[in-house]
Amino acid sequence: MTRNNFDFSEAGGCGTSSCSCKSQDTGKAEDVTKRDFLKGSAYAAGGISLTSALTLFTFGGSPAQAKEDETAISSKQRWGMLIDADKCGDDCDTCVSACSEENGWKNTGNPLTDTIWIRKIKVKNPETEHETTMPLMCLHCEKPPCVDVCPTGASFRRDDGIVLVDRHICIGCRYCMMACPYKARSFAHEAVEDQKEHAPRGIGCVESCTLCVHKIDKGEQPACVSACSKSAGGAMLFGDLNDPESEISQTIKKYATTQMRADLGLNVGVRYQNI
Amino acid sequence: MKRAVLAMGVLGLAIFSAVQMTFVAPVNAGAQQLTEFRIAQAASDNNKSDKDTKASGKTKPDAAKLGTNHGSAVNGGECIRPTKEMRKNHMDMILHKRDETMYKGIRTKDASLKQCISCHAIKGDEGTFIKATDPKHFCRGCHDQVAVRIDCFDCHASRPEVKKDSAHLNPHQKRLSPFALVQDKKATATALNSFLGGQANDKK
Ligand code: HEC
Ligand code: HEC
Ligand code: HEC
Repeated sequence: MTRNNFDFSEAGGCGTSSCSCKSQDTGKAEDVTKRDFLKGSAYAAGGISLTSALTLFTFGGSPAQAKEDETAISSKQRWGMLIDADKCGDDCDTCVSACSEENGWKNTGNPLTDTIWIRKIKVKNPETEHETTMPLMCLHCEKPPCVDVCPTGASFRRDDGIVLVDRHICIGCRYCMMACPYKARSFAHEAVEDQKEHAPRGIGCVESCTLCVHKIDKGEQPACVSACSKSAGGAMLFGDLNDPESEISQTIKKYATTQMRADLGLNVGVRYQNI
Repeated sequence: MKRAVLAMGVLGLAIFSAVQMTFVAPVNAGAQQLTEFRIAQAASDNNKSDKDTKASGKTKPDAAKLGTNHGSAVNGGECIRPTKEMRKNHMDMILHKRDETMYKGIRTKDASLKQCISCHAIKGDEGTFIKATDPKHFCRGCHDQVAVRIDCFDCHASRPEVKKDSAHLNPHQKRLSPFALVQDKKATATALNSFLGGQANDKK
């Protein structure tokens, strides 16, 4: 993987003194150059302003169809997400705290070892000084580099497109963290107590956004998406990319959307709009 | 046979394999033998560092009978399979379930670790459910004795979650999707179309 055009080393909090990122706190946006950020992506200039129209989309969102409990997932679905940066509030961290609440992770306050399942990033166009903020998490690639490099097979892609770590066989080598161009994974450095019963997590394993797989399997939406539409801008739309009738498919058909680092050809499941 | 097992039990290292033998023995008597073996073993155990396990075994006659830690603390109902089967096969069942859940997204209750924990929950002295760090935890009753160490509770909750709403404790109650109320896709789509293009009203 070449990562030179898209250096996130400062995002997510590297903690070095030369680092110019604003803050390591959850939800505080970090600076990434917009030009870097968009380099190679299928960026369409002049995003259509959808400010109120998208509210309708998000509220009518197409939640996962509840599958029968006993049936296995299948590749008929491909779960994805569309994030409208225009609707994402600058100082809003609703999605981040919803994720942390749902999955029981907390920032440790140590930027070098922090748990990051989802974070807010801020991208700035150096010429116009225009800033955009948006959440960034595992983008659930169709061709995930983390899966390619995993020596044990712990990093895997579910049939329905969700990229996960099987923490039962993860040995904590962290190759996947290096391979991920989005810096979406983190390592559990410290012992965890009082986990949520639906979200086991513990020391010695790499972890990342699961797209709230435990909720999707029950026909619910990821926690960040519900929280955003309930008490924030409604910037996140979740749905089945394989279903041409789903709201998300309809929207990406109609409007210009962006795959981050599209040049890498990973075909990500989480896409952006208006960045 | 019982004597032979007991004799082996005296040798610290041989304990584990002895138990394993009784476990894999296809005879139904296997489990019973294990129990008796365990009681005898506990009685002859001179290792004072294992006080807790011993104490619980002595103060709770029911637990002693079964050789495990659950006593009367099991949250009602019967085990998911006959006890004998559980003793022999619980590890295979949960590990199988684990893979079904991880890879196939199958989240039925049966043999899920969550389910074991919700039922095999033991209250400690403070009246709260104890964690696996406590030697009286159900899953440690046998494991400690036979030197099986599982890492499951590094990650998995080892006691039922204490939540304000207790709906999750009832496995029969389906949680409602918050989006169940906004399912009228067609109406939404129409409204959206008319908003965006103004041409959708005729589609009504
Ligand atoms: C490093 C963390 C970790 C460890 C250690 C771990 N698990 Fe898990 N386990 C998970 C995660 C993560 C899931 C996935 C949960 C999900 O998708 O909802 C899971 C899911 C499961 C499930 C399916 C969900 C359920 O509650 O039934 C089972 C069964 C399971 N694990 C069993 C085990 C057993 C048995 C052990 C010990 C031998 C173990 N796990 C150790 C992290 C762990
Ligand atoms: C609805 C409650 C319930 C659930 C759920 C449950 N159990 Fe049990 N289990 C029991 C009861 C009650 C007993 C004792 C049966 C008896 O006394 O014969 C028992 C016995 C056992 C035993 C044998 C203990 C002994 O003393 O020899 C094992 C091992 C066991 N369970 C493991 C599990 C595992 C593993 C799971 C999860 C897959 C599980 N149980 C789920 C209620 C439950
Ligand atoms: C009746 C006694 C008993 C009880 C109670 C019990 N176990 Fe076990 N368990 C054993 C024995 C003995 C072994 C080892 C079997 C072997 O190695 O063949 C074992 C092995 C396991 C293994 C496989 C470990 C490995 O490294 O392969 C898992 C996982 C496990 N138990 C989980 C549990 C859980 C979870 C509970 C509590 C719900 C529990 N057990 C309660 C006796 C028990």
